Amino acid sequence: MKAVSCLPDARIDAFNVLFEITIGEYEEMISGVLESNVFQRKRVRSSKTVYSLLRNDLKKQCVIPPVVLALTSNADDFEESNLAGFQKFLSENQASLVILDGLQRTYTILDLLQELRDDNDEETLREVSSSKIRMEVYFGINRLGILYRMLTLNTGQTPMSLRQQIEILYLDYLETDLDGVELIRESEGRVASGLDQYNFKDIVEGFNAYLDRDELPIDKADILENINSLEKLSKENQSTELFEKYLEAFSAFVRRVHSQASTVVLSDDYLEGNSSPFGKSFMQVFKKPQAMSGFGAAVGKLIDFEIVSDFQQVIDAVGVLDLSAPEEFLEEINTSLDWLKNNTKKIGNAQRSYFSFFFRDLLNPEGDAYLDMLGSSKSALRKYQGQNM
Amino acid sequence: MSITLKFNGVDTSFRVSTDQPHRLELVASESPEVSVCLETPLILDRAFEGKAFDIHYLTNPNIRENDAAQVICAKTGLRIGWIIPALSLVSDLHDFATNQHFLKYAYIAMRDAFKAIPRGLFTLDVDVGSQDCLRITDLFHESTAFLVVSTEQLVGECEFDLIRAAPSLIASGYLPLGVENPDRYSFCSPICSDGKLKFELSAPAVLDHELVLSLLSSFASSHRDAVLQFFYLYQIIELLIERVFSYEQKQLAQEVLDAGDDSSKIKAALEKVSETVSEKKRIQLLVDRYSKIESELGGLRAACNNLLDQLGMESGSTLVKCLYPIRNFVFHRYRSFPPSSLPALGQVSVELVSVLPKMLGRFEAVEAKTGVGVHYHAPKQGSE
Repeated sequence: MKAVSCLPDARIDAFNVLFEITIGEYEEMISGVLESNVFQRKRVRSSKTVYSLLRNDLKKQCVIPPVVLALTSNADDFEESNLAGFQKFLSENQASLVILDGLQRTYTILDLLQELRDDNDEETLREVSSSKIRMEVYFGINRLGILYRMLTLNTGQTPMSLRQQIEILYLDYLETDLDGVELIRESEGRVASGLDQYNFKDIVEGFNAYLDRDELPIDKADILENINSLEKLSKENQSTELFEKYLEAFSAFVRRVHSQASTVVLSDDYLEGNSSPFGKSFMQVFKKPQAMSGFGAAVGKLIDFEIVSDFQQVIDAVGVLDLSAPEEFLEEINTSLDWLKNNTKKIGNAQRSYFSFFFRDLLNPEGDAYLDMLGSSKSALRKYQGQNM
Repeated sequence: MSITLKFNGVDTSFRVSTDQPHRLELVASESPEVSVCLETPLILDRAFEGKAFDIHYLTNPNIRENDAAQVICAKTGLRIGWIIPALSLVSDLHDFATNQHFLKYAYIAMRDAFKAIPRGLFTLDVDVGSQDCLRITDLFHESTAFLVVSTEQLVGECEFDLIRAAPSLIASGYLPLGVENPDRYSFCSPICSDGKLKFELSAPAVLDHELVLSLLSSFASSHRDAVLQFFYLYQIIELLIERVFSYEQKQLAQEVLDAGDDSSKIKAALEKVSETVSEKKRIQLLVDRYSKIESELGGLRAACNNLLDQLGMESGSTLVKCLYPIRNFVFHRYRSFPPSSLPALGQVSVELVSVLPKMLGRFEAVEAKTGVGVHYHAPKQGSE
């Protein structure tokens, strides 16, 4: 492996270093990354796609376009001309690599090498392993910038959804202590039952909603979606770790509510009339993806309208939130959500929209229901009905 | 049984595979390594594997995720299946997500929806090449609902025929899905709110069930045009009173023959002939004798009288006296129909849709003298 060129990317405040690397070295470097990264998009499986043609071409040592990776670990101050320094750093931090572009090509390479081993075709295996490919690696700690670059690279090709890309990018937060907040992967078989525990997937959905200013889930990626996301992303201040701030703000809200109403649950009388409520307690109401998405979209819109300046303002506001009638609020919000369940076409979307209205009213200092949970729950339903029914 | 889907732009045959224990997959018939999982958040129950079911494809423009319903034979009270909205199969937020009966039928719906889609049935254009998973709403319009019928339940008097059940289904908001894009349908029928849809089959004596379905489809696609919708529905009344006329004529012809030389009997029979030519008389016979439905018409009469009141006309206590004048006004004097009364006309159609299942279900040619039902044969072409 050899670093051959370095270009600073001022747009995302990172360095793009071009490496030449043999396929064999690439395999060794990347296999561990793929194994540990369950969020990487699954391969496109077909014997009739361009990738099967690529496999055959690789045997004939064709030159493929560069694969693009990023290092998510902290990078010291590098100098543009210190190529050896980049190379050394990469060697020591391979586990933190993320593939931005070229996942399917990577699978094709690995499949080919395995096929040659299985066929005991040592000669072709040697030739392929020693042939070179180009690899670009972004060095930098700005995640949002890397996310932006991922989108620009993926637009126009078979795209990953924005959510999938965010999941990949923030994967190592699963191992990090975020001011006491723990993110849990569903595949671990654990449940995010603690106050400061959240499903990683739900938080990603909520952050996605913030970036898109849209609480509705967008699973199917298309070119238009990616372009829209690019436009929104380009307006963000990419010097801050927005994902962490989003999480801090939502967690602050949940902690504040919990501190005031941790023992409050729906009464038996209420449950007689509504036996399957949305949430019997405050935690059950708010620690759901619908609430997280509504929160993200609401804050995003408030920032766009310049009613709120940033997440810190939200954090400060929820810090003084007072729940004067928690039992009444819990019943009111469950009644509203029950109405949505019985009267809307798509329940999940309706719930997300409801929470978006709820948090917009709750966090809008210029509104009538500012920091008024009960008032916001009522006005949210009225607004939803006014807009949709 | 296979389904053809686009895979990276190429039409590819897929079959449903139940090999994986916890999920259904579509597997390419000629390339088994190519598969797409059928995604659902529901924990489906495979308890009905091996049992016999029919699946029918319906559409409902007002359908909601929470609108799954058991399908009950009105005649026997037996549950024969479920209507399951496609939206219900891609969500676990509705009331049925943990209902064990629903989950068993939901499995059958997911399994069989892709098994044998009728030629030309409206589906969405989807390319599964770049997707690992497919949701049922990726292929079927979100207004689609699957009527899953357990054929084991169809015993004795309990039978099911989609075309004959169409009036009942449309009274509950559902129409058989055909080749047309469901977006063209817009009609307001209340969706059953108690989770149960009771159906009646149109009686055999109605004969032309396909025509009834065609008229109902035209009604449904009339884009809330109150006049057109009323027109199409009234054609069903016309169809029934045509049957009434045909049978009455046959009976009277027999009476004339039986009269022999008795001129008074002949005269009486001939007078009845001229009566049955009258549309009003035939409607009365339909209501009183053929469908015996007068007691069920309260809502329809009220809607008709409301409209008559708006039109400045006299209200009526029977269907003849309240529906027939509206028919005449719309068909012969529409130039004078006030636009402000169109909603009232729409309400008449809503009520008419709700009574049609019973009107068609009970329709029976009955001998006037004996009150005994008569098996009615379809007239040969040109014989009437």
